[in-house]
Amino acid sequence: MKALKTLFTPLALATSLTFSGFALADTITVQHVAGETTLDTNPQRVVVMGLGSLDVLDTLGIEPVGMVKTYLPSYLEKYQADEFKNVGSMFEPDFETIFTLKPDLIIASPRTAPLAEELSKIAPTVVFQVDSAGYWESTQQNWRMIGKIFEKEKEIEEYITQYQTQIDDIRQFVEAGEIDALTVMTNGGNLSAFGEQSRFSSIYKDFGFKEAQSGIVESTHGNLISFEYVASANPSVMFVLDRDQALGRGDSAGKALLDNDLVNGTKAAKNNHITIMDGNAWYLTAGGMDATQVMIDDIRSVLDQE
Amino acid sequence: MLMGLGIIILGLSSLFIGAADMQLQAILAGDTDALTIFFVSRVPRLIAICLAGAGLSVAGLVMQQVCQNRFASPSTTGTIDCAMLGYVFALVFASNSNSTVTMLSIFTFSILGTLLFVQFLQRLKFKNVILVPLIGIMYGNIVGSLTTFIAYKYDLVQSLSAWTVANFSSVLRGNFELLYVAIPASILAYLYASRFSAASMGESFAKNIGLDYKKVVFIGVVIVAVLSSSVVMIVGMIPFLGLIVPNVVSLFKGDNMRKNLPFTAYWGAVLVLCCDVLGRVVIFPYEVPISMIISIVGGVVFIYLVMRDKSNA
Repeated sequence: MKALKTLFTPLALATSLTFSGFALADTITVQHVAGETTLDTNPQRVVVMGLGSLDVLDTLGIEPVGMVKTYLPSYLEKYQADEFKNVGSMFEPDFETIFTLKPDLIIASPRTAPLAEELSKIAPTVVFQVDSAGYWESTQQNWRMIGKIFEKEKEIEEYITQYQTQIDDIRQFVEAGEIDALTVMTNGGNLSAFGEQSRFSSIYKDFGFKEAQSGIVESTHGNLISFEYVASANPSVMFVLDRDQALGRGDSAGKALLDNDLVNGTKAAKNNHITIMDGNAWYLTAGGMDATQVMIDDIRSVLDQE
Repeated sequence: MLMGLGIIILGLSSLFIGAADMQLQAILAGDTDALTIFFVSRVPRLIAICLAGAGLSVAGLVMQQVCQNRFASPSTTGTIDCAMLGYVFALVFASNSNSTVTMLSIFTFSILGTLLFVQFLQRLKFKNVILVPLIGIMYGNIVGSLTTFIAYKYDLVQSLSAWTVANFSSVLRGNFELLYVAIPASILAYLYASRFSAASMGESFAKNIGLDYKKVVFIGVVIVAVLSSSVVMIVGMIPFLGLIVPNVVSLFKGDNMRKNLPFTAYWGAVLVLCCDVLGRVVIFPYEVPISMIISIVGGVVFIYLVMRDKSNA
């Protein structure tokens, strides 16, 4: 297969040179978490499996032909239209539909990353995955990968600089004040904690908050904690992800759960520094450009009150 | 005497084990932070544990009488699965409703579901001791698959599983008081104990001694549904409890329901208390859900009971 590809590459190059009136397609190799993928630049028929990558493409003005349509945030609502094909759920790609769409690029998400190899049998597949080890770091890598594929590197760099400035500002402010934070998720009446090594690592690693209680181990849905834990951690700032709300169920369940004497006794509650994070941006569309802006705004909303 | 001491020691250890650092001296000295934690978190948690443990065990005892089977309990007769269905139903069709609606829905589903099962049992000619819980578990699984289907369709599977896993970690003053319903329900069960015993001899026997069989069965089912749905609502699904506690008690104390009921309630509370304290210590300061611990203990005891029963027969 590989030999075949190398054989055809000069041919493809030649063809693209001949029809130079069309968008120029170069063959490039990009790196991502599932390995290396060689593909032609400027693919026309793109299928995206995640909301983060859809967000980025939308910002760049590229319309995919198919995407996962569940939990689209309001600013991506237009992809609900019938001209865009639904390609399965967040976890399960609809292989038949993807195949019939004849894509020249599939962008897998963290939730479908284990199936990247299967998907790559249909078309070149890259994984757009935000790494919990460092949100901003891996988001930049993802953006640059997209930029390289669609030859929009300059635009991407502009976005990165713009976000970098905002993040640096916040980081400086937070680090100067040595502000500590606790991040919790409410889910079906339970409370769990997330630390530096979690999907919400950006709060600590990128925005510079200190862990109110150190040593929270990594786990997809956090560590089960009691309200006592919150009380003894006594954070200055508390970030709350209401998972049920993120999925559109029970609007204020998380808020009601947290309204109790133990939580109300913390510094965060007394100073009104508890923020219900935008569930969609943090939990579902993480890695997108608009989503990253929402995340930055969420963090800032806590700080503006200081 | 010894029994009283046992629960006092366990109760004290429950009061002084928790994520927050709280010393006895601080309470005696009247430190506000310590007092808040004590009265907002520790005491309610202890009360909730005792009520849930006692309530579910009594529910199991009543269920065994009503079904005339010693392996019947809320978790082997579909009661808890029906309660789950009620929860999902409330979540999906009354998304922003308050807890009263949820509670009513859970209660209605569990009472109707249990009645359906009991009706079905009464029509069954052949009532083998193992067959009844087997049918009950199958029935529970059918109801459970319906629940999962609805949950899957509305992306609630993870919420449902988070909610089902029983733990007392979020119990605080103000959110567990519903569990007090276990007290009147248990008293009612005690008052009706001899009637349940008579009913457990079978419909014709009960009718011969002038008992309104249908009414007694109905009251029994209502008690079971109230007890188990309140626990499911506040704490989650605690497996095996209603099954093993009444059985182990009757191993030692015989089969007199009225005499056994207080012991059943007591040992239920003790068992849950033990498991919960253990769950708080294992990966301190995080918690292991009690359902996980009780499943390990309960599974072993359940297998022992089944094996033992076979050798007796």
